[in-house]
Amino acid sequence: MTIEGQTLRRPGGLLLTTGKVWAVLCITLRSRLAYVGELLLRTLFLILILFTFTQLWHATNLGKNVLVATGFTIQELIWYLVFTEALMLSAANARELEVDSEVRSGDIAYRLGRPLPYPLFHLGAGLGERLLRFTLYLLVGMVVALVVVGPIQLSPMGVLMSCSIALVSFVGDWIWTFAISLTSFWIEDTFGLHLLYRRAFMILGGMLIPLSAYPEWLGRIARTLPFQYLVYYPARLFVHPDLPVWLAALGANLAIAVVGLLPLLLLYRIGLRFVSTQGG
Amino acid sequence: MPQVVEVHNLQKTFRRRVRGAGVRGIVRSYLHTEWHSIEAVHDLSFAIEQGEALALIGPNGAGKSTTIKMLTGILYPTSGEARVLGVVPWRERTTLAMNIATVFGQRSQLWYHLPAGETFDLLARIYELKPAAYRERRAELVRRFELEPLLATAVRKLSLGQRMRCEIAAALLHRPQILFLDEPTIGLDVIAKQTIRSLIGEMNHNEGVAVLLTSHDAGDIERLCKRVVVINQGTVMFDDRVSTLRRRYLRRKVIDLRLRDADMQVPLLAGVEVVKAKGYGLKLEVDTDVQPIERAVAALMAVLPVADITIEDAPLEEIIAAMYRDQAHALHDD
Repeated sequence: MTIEGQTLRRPGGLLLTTGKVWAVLCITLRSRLAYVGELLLRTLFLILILFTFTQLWHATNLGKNVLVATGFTIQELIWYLVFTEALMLSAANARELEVDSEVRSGDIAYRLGRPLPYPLFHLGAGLGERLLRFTLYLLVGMVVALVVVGPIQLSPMGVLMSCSIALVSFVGDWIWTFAISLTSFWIEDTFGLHLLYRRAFMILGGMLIPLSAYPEWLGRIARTLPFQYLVYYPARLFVHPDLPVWLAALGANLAIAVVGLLPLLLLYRIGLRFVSTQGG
Repeated sequence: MPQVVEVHNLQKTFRRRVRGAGVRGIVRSYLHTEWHSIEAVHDLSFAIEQGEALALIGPNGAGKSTTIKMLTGILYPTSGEARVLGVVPWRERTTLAMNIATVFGQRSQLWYHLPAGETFDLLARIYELKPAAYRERRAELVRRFELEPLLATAVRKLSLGQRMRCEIAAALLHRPQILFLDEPTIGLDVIAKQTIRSLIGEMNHNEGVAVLLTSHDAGDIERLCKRVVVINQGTVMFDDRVSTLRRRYLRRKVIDLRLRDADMQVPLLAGVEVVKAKGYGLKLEVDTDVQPIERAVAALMAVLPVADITIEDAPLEEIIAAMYRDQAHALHDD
């Protein structure tokens, strides 16, 4: 005699699942806030980068012609850099490698036994960590920029536009990095792939200088690839708010996320059959 | 009684890529891939009734954890069938997860840097508990597991025994119908082991939660379960009542003594054998069919200056070896 027919509790719909992801995001935030000192120490690197680039651009006399070359004044360029650095440094490399290590070691098995899909658990945890770091880096970067080059005219609308695009870009960026991590079901070490992706993100996204200042051939390549929507556009909107540009960037970021779901779901579905875990 | 777990001819084979030694071996393994198969579970069949506590025991590599992972839907089997609460685990893993709980003694589900109460709140969301029902259940578990003084402390600062109490309470928050426990007492001291055993036993009796327990420790099995399945190299060697196992294989106990004086003369007792005697240490094996353990301990305490005493079951490896001997004798007799 089996217990077929007895009612089993089944997981709820989209709203409840979203609530679970939100709960994971919140607990990740609280967990990371347990080490505020460590977080603040990380910002030292940001301060160093901002200071170095400001000095470099002044020393190369870039300031004189910068408006012509890039469409940004030197002050705006530093504030642009504040935003791109906050985007870049907040991308938590350790979390990408955690997924990689969980897949290879079989620890993924311990997370699969919960009524919350494994990718969604990491989405909540990844976003929680990234939002915290991004906010912190942005605030510290703004203070440094204020001290080093002084204020620029930041509008609340510009901040809202850039931050909203950044938020959507975090989801798209997470989807692609998670898909890369899932290849560790078949590849011994995904560190190389992650490194390649992050370097493309930095160079082709326009992290150090806006795409408008790139040599023509490189600018052409960068403008055909999606990385510009993850880095250049949110940072540009921070300094130069523009509604049509915001709409275009929002659409592009949503497309990056939706297209990324295909490889992610495919790799996850196939990968689950390859879960291998030793012990006992 | 209805069955909550049914397993028929379950099999799991892991494949590992064989890599050659040295640079030449590595290059060769890329050109011609060789695979090594490990049969973790072989033709396993058993069932668990509602409210039953079943022990699944065996030495390292026997296939216990692999079996649990297949029954919780985490691993796909190579062949065979299983139904847990009427569903095929690896096909309806998420639905099953809402109705069962798993505790791995060597893995924590608690957030390491936060107090356990924060993980409880998260699990309430993940298992979709109604706020009032969650508050009531949490209060009940906090009282039963005596967690009140621990709830505000970060998990990393708890002792292993305290953490395990929190782990099991966390697993029971959503009132699971089956509790899978993989080595829940591993690494715990004697007192903590007793506490964990009594709490699991209490939940099994009072709430009718079926328990599937894997352990290396024969003491866990004796105190918690009525039925035991012994597996070795993925194959069932014994499936019967714990009392039968005890009568056949657990009658030997090991007494470890630390004496105040060195090289003492050991009294001669029927059914008691000296395994090792060196300096202040003395290890004896007692056949409890011949000499009840209480009488053996009393007799030793009366004549020896005992500083410390530990009584343990014979190691599982010895029990398995005895089972092999029995099977060999049975074949020989046929």
